[in-house]
Amino acid sequence: MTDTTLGITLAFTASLCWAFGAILIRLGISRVSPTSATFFSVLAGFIFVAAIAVILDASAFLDLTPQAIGGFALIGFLSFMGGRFLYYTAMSKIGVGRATAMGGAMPIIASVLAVIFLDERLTIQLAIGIVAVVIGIGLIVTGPAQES
Amino acid sequence: MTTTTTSRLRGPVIIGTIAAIGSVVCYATGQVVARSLLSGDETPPQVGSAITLFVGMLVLGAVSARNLPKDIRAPRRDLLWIILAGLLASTGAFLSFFALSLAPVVLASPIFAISPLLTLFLAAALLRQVERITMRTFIGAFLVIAGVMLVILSNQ
Repeated sequence: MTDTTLGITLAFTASLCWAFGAILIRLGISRVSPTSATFFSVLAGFIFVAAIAVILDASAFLDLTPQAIGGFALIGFLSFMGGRFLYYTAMSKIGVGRATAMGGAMPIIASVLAVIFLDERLTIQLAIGIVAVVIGIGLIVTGPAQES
Repeated sequence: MTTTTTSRLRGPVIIGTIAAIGSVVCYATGQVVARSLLSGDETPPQVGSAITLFVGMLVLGAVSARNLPKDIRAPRRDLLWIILAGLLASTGAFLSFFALSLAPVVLASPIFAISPLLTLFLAAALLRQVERITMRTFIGAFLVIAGVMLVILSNQ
């Protein structure tokens, strides 16, 4: 197996992990509040990742600069208190189908924010992508409710 | 679906839609912050992930403190699903780092982008008793992913 084939296999496995994770959350969140569900999932993720980080190179924690710690802390707040908590809330209110489909727009939103705040260029491809995402989300949001 | 049911669902649908859009904006802002503050930083990805998760855990622990005593008594199976989901999310992130180190971004990124479609297919197959996935949702998701693919591939 070449490196590229292995990389593609790992990328597909990562996508499957995220997809199965969303399904499991949908099953588990009906009797647990979104804040607690997010806390439990982040706690489990932290134990897993911290163990791997310590096993691979514990000394890397000592080399962190204050700017890197601040940057990662801000990303942690945005990703988990903002992103994941709101995603679980969305899943509990409108279901995994709608919430995940809308969540797929993240790279486009990141590109739009980069154009606004990082002075990146608005390309024709990005403009077409934005239109496709807006129509797609419009279709998802205005469809009938998805409870069985 | 009756008018009464539609009215009953409207509130949660609005809240859920706003939450979904807010979630996407928060994740995207995190990416922009990473590109802005951490470009050139050589912290290993697992160390960076551990710090982001630690901060998220602290903040969420404080916010959910009032609900935790009640929620910890939820059925064990529900808690197990949630913990497994957290492990799968972290495993996915971890595998994505390795995938990007082995395969070109032009091949790996579109595969990451199809994750919502995989979720929809899995939901349609496994969550029939819980949730009905409509053709309209599939078409909407396809449009969203097509737009994302266009931007990803044009940036390579």
